[in-house]
Amino acid sequence: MNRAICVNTWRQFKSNNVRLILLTLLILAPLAHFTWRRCTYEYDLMEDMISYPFVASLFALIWGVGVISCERQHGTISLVLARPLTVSRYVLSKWFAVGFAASLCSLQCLFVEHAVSVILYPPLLSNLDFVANGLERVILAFGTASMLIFYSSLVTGLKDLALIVGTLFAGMVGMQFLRPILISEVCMRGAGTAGQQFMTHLTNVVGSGFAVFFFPNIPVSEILNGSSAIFTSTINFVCVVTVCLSLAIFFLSRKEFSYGQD
Amino acid sequence: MARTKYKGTRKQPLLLYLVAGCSFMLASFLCVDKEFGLNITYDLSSPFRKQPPIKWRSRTQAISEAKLTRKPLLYAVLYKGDEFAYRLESDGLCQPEIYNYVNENFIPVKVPVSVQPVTDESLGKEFKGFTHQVNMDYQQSGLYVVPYRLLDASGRDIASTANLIELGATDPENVNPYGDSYGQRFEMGRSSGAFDSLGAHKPPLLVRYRDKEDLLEYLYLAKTWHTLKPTRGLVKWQPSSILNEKTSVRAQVKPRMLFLLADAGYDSDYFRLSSLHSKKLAAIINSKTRPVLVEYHPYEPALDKDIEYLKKQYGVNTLPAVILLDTKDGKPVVQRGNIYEGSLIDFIESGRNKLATDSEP
Repeated sequence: MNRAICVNTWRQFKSNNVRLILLTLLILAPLAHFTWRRCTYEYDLMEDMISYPFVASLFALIWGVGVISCERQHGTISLVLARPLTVSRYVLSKWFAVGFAASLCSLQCLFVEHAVSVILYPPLLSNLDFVANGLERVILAFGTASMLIFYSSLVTGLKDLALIVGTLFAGMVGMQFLRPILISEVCMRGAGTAGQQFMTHLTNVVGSGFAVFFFPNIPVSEILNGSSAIFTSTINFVCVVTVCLSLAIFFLSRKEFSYGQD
Repeated sequence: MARTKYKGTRKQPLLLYLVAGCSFMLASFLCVDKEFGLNITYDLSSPFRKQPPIKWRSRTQAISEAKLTRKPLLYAVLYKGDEFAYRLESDGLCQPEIYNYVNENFIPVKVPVSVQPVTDESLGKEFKGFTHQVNMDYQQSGLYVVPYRLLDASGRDIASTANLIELGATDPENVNPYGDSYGQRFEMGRSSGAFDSLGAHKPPLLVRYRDKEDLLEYLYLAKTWHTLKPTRGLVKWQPSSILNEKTSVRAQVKPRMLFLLADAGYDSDYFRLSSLHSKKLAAIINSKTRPVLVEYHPYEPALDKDIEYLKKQYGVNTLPAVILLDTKDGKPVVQRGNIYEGSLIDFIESGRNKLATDSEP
């Protein structure tokens, strides 16, 4: 890791008002929702109201969109790489900066939510669900950060956000097309033709890959409850992180960087 | 001039590429073959998992022991990589209350499953007929109970719904003979879609484990349910001695109606629930006839020696059967096969024309 790149990434974020507003909203929105629920439903006071680990992905999205592509657009990447620094170290530093920042924000959000719950109902202090939730947030933040770094290395400016949205949209449209095949196969309980069975299997595989790519998580709470998903989910997580970072390094290494966009 | 380790901006991280390539291939393989991932997780975690101190028997050994000790068999079907199987084995069955209760009241048999689809052959020679007995049509880990007297019975017969009412687990006023089975309370998440028809015909089983209390409750029910007598419903049964009463007495009172039922088995259980628990039908039977119940024991034929002649006398081969005695011409009227509330009411109403006690039109 390169400390200067990490600090620079966080400083760039600080100078962007839109991102700061989005970050504030993302921290306050769950709190507002839980406050409303506590005021409305009496029994909710006894529950540890903490948001889902998924919010870590949103924090990573706010921190990580355009993290490399904006530097390419402004030409600052050329200045950075003029120093004795490899592309791989640059990419890894960016990944760490985004993942760490997103983890920190989501953990801060979690602690505030848990603290409010504990103040209102002290027995919740012994509830350890939030520890698993916190671990999942950290894992998810670093996983999503790697995916964002990959997208960011492909384009310039904020086009990576468009790429992410486009991929998700294409996946949803594809699933809608394949749905009739899947439903008929499910209704027949595996009694379809070989072609149908192959299509079902293929769709499941693609769907799983899609889910793993966009939601790189290790379900800590489920594993602690006895789930057998630890091996598969760990491999999937490692795969997403290493493949995304490798591809980002590979693509960036093959680009010529000018000192500014014409 | 001092040399630096720096070898250029475009130096490639080969180790990262290697890890990425390997993990991608492994992840792709796991994505294509999910069973492999689950199996390898199970195998790798085996040394670290707790093993319940239960005295497992082989199936052959358990069957012969059950006949001697008259204890029910408890099959623990554990699929490799199934979350429920993990939790059941390493958490639920490892609780001292649970394994003591199991060792004391059951004859436990472990059925480890690693190959899909499950067949008798894949389980081994000693499991002949097992998949049919527990209806293992699709992947499902669970605990299955087979009472000692129903060792040879099919899963359909073992799922004796009638006992539930006696146990207080089902509301007798609102009984659905198709839906209420002993195991249904424990089949969470399986009561919809294509599996509905299977749910009611499965032997007492546990397919979800939530906590120790839940498991203990199941084991208590599993130990108790088959020892209770099947329900006799709302009908006021007369003593069987009236079957031998004299003709002169018969003319004075209501005609006799003979019910031949089995003490176990789906058909008889269905009849008990659908007909004998019907208030309307019970009122008709009680007001117009003198009902007599004779129970057979299809899985313990030695107990039926004294009453076997009744079947031959009235030409009954399958149970349940209802026989209207005391007709005008002296020939009893028999209803066999699929008997339910409506058909029995029709049978009684149509049979009244033939009854010796009815006045001439």
